[in-house]
Amino acid sequence: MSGDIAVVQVFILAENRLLREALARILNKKSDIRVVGASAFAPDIVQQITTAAPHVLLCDSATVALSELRLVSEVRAAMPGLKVVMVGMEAEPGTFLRAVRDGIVGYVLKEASAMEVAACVRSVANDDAVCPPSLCMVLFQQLANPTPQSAGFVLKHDLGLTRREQQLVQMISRGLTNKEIAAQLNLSEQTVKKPRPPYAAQARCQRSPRSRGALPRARRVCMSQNPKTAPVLFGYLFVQRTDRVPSVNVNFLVLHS
Amino acid sequence: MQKVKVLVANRPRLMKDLVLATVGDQPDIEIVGETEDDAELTELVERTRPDYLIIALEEPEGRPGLRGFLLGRYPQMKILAVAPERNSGIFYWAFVDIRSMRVESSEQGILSVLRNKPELVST
Repeated sequence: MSGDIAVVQVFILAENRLLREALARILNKKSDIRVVGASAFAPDIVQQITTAAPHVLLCDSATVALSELRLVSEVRAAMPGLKVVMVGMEAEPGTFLRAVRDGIVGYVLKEASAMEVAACVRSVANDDAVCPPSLCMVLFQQLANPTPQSAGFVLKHDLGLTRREQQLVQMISRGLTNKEIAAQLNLSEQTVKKPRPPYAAQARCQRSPRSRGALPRARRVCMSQNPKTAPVLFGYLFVQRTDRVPSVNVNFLVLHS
Repeated sequence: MQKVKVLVANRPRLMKDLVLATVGDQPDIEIVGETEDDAELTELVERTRPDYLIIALEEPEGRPGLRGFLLGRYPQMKILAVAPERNSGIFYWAFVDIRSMRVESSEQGILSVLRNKPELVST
């Protein structure tokens, strides 16, 4: 096929040290695959990956890739052509669907062989997707009977925040105004439009040590999902006070995009 | 040269393949068998009499039934139980009773055990 990549460059992002080392060894033995980097999560990992310029990113941890850190989304924003593959995974539908929504194109279970990982690398490099048979049904059902999820809906109740959201939470808990926040984040502060009916609701909130006033406070903040492009999301941040541990948690509802 | 004989029997499959890749590449180590099946395991140990057996480390007990039985029957054998996804492993050997030591479940950690110089895990 013309347009096939001759040597697929792979970056291994894995907390599992044996996986980093031994899988790199296995893949490097293939004449058509070359491992250009291997690392555990680090604060500058996105930078490391973009510098190494792989075709394919292998990742072994849902925690790192999906939940708190949303690394897959971040890396794909930085490198739009990058193919992301999760390896060594459990066949758990929730994690799988989250990964798919975040844009992975390959998902390899822990019961798979190392050869299957290599085959997956080749397939995704050539623009195919790889889904284990046991999880295909999950995909089919999701399309046939979608659970309510819209593209603009960012955060639900149980999971961690993106880096941007974390920044926001800290700034609000320090009492910054929208203008100050916008200035710090280098965003334009736009007039908040009248909100449409909100999507699903909220998580519990815990008290900010610095929150003022006795009433729940809704803060309107304008932020861009991707700093480089539109669309801009308007969100309501509810920072409520409860008599719990002094920490800040956030409900973030995306009202419309 | 007398090679170290190793039977590789850890799970799941991907982790087993990683161990096989690590161990298989070494000139001084010979893989005498591999399996993921516990039932087949005892039979393979009996047949191949490895110096080292590599199995999966399953918390919390680390499979004491299996290791007790095997080390009791083959006291010259040593067992390395690995959990690479947790970056940890435990190395078991019999000396009067069963001893153990935590080791790192990386290539270096595994190979150092097989070559009789186990490196302690740093955590």
